[in-house]
Amino acid sequence: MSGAAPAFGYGDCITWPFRSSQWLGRVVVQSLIALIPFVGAMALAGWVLTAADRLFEGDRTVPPAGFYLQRGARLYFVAFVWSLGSVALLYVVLFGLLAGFMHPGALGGTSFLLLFGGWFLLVFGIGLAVHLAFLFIVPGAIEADARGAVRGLNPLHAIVDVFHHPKDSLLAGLITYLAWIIAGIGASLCYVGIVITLGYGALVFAGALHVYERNTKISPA
Amino acid sequence: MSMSATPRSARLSRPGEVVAILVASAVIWLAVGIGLFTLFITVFIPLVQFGGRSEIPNDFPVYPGAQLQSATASGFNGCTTVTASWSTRDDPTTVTDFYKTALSEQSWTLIDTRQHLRSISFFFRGTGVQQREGWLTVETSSFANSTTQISLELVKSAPRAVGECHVAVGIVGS
Repeated sequence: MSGAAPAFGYGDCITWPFRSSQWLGRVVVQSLIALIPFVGAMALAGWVLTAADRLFEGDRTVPPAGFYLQRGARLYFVAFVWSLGSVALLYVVLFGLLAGFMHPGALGGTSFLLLFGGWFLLVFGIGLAVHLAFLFIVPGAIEADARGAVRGLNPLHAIVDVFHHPKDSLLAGLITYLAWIIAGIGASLCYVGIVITLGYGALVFAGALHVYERNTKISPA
Repeated sequence: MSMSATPRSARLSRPGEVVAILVASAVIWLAVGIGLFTLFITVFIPLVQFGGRSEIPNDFPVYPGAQLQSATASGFNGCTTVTASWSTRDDPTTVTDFYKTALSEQSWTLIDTRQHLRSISFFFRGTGVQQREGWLTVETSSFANSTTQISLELVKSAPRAVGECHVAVGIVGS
C-alpha cells in the first residue's frame, strides 16, 4: 500500500475542529439539539458521521448544526440496543446482589463473603467492562454504519476488527475515551458547559472514526 | 473492514426507518423505565424493608395486632443479626406487660430490664440449643394519640457456628 504518511493522524482528532472558523457556533447549536430526548442523540450521531464523511473527502470543516436523522439512524439504533441491554443486565445483577444482602440465610454461613465478593466483582467488572468497551466503540460504530441497523448489531465484526487491528483499535479507543471525558466535563460546570463540550467531544470522536476507518482499510487485515 | 460495506454516500436510512427507530426507542425506553420503577416500588423496596422477616424466630412473641414496620437481617461470622420494628395503637404499659410475661416463658428468658425516659428495654436470651439473645424496646411516641413503637435487635448463631453470638446495644460480636 501507499508509503506516504497519513496527513490526518489520531493526534489531529483533538485539534481539527478549531481549524474551522465557525466551529464554536456549530458546536453549541448541535449540543443544544443533542439535548432533545431521542431525536437529539440521533441527530448528534448523524452529525458525527457527516463530519467523518467530510474528513474522508478532505474537507476539514465542522459541518453545520442540524438534524442529520437519516445519517445517524442506524448508528443510533445499534447504540440504543446495546446500551439498553447493558443497562438491563446491570440492573438485574444489582437487584440480585442487593436481594442476596437482604436474605443472609439464603446462601448459608458463607453468604456474607460470597455477597461481599460478588459486590466487589460487580464494581470491578463494571469498571473493567466499561474500559474494555472503548476498544470496540469505534470499530462497532463503523461496522454499524457500514452494515446497517440490524446487521450492525452483530458484535462479531467489531471483535474481528479489534483483533485484526489491535494498535489502531487501542489508539481509537484512547481517543474515544478522551472524547467521552471532554463531552462530560461540561456537566460539571453547572451543566451549562455541556453546550460546548458535548459537541466538541463528538467531533473528536468523528476524527477517531475517520482515522480508524481509513487506517484499517489500507492495512492488511 | 469488510469489502461488503455500504458506500458512504449510500449510508442513509429511509425516513420511515428513522421514524420507526425513534418511536420504537421512545416506547421501549418508556416501557423499561416504567418496568424498572414498578420493580423498584413493588419488589425492591419491600425486599429492603421486610427482607429480614423470615429471620425473625417463629417462636418470638409478637404483640397481638402490632404491625411490622421493617425487618432487616445481616449475617457475619456465623451470626445473624435481625433488626425489626412494629407499631401498635395500644398503650405502652399494656405492651410492656405483655413482653414482661412473654419473654419469661417458653423459649425465652428475661435477663434484664432497663427503664429510660420514654422507653423500656428488655434484654432476653433463648433457652434452646441455638445461641439467641437480644434487646426489645417499647417506646412511647412523643406525640399525643400516636402509636407505641416496638423495636427488636436480636442476634442468633448459625447451627454449626464456632463461638457465641452476642448483641450489645447495636454491636454484634462472636
